[in-house]
Amino acid sequence: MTGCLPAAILWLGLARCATGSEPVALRVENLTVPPSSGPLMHVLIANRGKARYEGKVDVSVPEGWRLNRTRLRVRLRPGETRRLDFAIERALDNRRNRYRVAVVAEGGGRRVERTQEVVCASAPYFQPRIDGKATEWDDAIPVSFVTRGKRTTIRTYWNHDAFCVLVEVQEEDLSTRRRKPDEKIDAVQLAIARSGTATPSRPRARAERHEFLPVASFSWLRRSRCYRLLGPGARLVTATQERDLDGLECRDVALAVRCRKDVTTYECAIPFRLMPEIKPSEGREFFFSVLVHDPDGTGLREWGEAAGLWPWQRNPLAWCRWRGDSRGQAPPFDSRTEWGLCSSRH
Amino acid sequence: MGCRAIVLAGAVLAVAGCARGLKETWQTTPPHPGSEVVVAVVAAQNPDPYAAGRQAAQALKDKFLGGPKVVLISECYLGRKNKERLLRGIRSVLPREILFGGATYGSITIDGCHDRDAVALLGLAGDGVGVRAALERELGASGPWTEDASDPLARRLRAAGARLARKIPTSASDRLLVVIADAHSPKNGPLVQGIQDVLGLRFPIIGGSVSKNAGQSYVYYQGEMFSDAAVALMLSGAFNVSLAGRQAKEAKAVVATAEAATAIAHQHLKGSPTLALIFDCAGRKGKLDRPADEIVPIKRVLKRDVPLFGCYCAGEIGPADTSDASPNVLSHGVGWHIMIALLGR
Repeated sequence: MTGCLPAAILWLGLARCATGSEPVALRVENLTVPPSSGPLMHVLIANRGKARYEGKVDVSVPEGWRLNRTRLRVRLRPGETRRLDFAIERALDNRRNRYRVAVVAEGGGRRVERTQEVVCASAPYFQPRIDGKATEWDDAIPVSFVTRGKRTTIRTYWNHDAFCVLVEVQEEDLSTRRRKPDEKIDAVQLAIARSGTATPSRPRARAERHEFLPVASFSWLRRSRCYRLLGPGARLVTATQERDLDGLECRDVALAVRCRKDVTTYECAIPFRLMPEIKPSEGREFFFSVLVHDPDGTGLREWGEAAGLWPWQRNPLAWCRWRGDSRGQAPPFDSRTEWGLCSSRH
Repeated sequence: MGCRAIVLAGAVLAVAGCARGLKETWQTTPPHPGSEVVVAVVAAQNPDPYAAGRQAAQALKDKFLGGPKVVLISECYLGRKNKERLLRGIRSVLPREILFGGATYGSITIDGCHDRDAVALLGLAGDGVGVRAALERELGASGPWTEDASDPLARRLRAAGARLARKIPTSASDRLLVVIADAHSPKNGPLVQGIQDVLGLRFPIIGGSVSKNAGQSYVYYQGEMFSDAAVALMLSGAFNVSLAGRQAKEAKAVVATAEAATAIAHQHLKGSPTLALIFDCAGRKGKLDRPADEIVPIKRVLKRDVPLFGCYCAGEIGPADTSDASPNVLSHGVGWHIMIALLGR
């Protein structure tokens, strides 16, 4: 159980030392309201070298979009990460919710380019009935990614009572019960954190996030359950322990799971009263991420990876372990990706 | 079955305002030069919307001899039923004909921000001000602003804006058009262009888009609720108007731009301010832990107890603070702005 802790410390040490072959790393953050409403687009640039970096950053956006500026000059100290703002002044939304953005950094005679399919990760206002059906979710903004040929789609809503999440998992088989102690099961793991927080690198540090784990059950004797794995204030060492789920059930979260053909739909409503630091209001930003555990199919699916997090943003303290999870040797990507509450996509 | 159909048809007619032969234009007596303009703003917060509406309406009525000429409503109750009850409460005190406004993400008064379960009312009275109002229904504004939908949406909204403006006959004493529409940014852009096709590019227009939260999108015209609609109020009289707008998309800039917009409007106003009308972006409010932080500098710039009436919107109308804003055009329909109109004499 505690055998995971030394591995975590070792990984954190390696991650801190890791440097890429390129002088800087680039990432465009998720948009937190629909692009047509003109939000800021944030570009992260990290100096991965041991010398100062001086250069310019150019951004290219989809046709028909206009930014307040497309170029910024930057100076970065060794190891420094800077968040650059580009205001979207005109844009069109699309139903795929994928927007191709190219960022080029040129400095010190080196050119670094990254092209991303940026998403709008935002929850419109709506109060869905939690019944496991996706019929009321057409007005939510779909965030999709494919892992080893299987699609995962995340949709979110908010209302003054709850943050509502629908995750559609395309998969071959669904394992809902462990028959042996070491058997793995299907589940969806959700992490929510206040904006401006970061995952600590010390296991003794306190957590600043919430983690929930909806698990399906189609038995007459046992209903689908949501477990609360972590809350702010808990020691992060907890995240490294492969805990049994017994005793962690959170009945405050409404949950319904349905399985149709090859898609399992997890629908839940997490009351904001469990997360008082996240105020439900339009324009509010926070961090949210999803892991999908598909033990007899793709294994672990990570939204953080699909959202373009950097390879060194894997962190063993970013997600809780639990008995039956699908984690492999490498720790998962960080549990913080940008998310927002908006009014509507209309 | 037949009875059910009749009841349903009656409800639909009542919602549309047809049940009592609603006219889509309305006006007060014209203004008299040199006469006074009386302004009052009240707010009430109560989980019971009927009680809040009644309380606010009574408080407003008590501030005028003979009652207000026109009332602007900004309210933030959840769901159609609560909004209907609020309107019933207001109508139990004030005549329905003079009630206009919309569902918003919150209201602004000199006392701060009033959001959940709250209503704010602005009342105008006096022979120095005249008001003409119009309603435009069926804007055709619903649907996402996508590559294939944006052009037809823009055409429909521009045409609707022009129809709305044509319903209001112009006069030499017109000073300011206040527009409240069910048109989330960027849809408010073509709506304003349509209005300007009729009124001209330099006529002062200010306003905002109603809440676009599911089940909350209503504009109010003569005390009735309408979706997919826009209301325009033309204020005329012997007073001056100064407009300013500033944009911010991050918390650190929200407070600074509120102060800057107020300062610009104040600097350009001829005379002393008697009312500050504010249309602010709900997204800006969402960036602040304490929305009142934005109201403090507005009060500081105005220096005295000038009545403030404002609301948090899903798109704002006024002078745009964007890189492509044409200097020949006074007002635009945009997002992420605080728009301020100072009325003074």
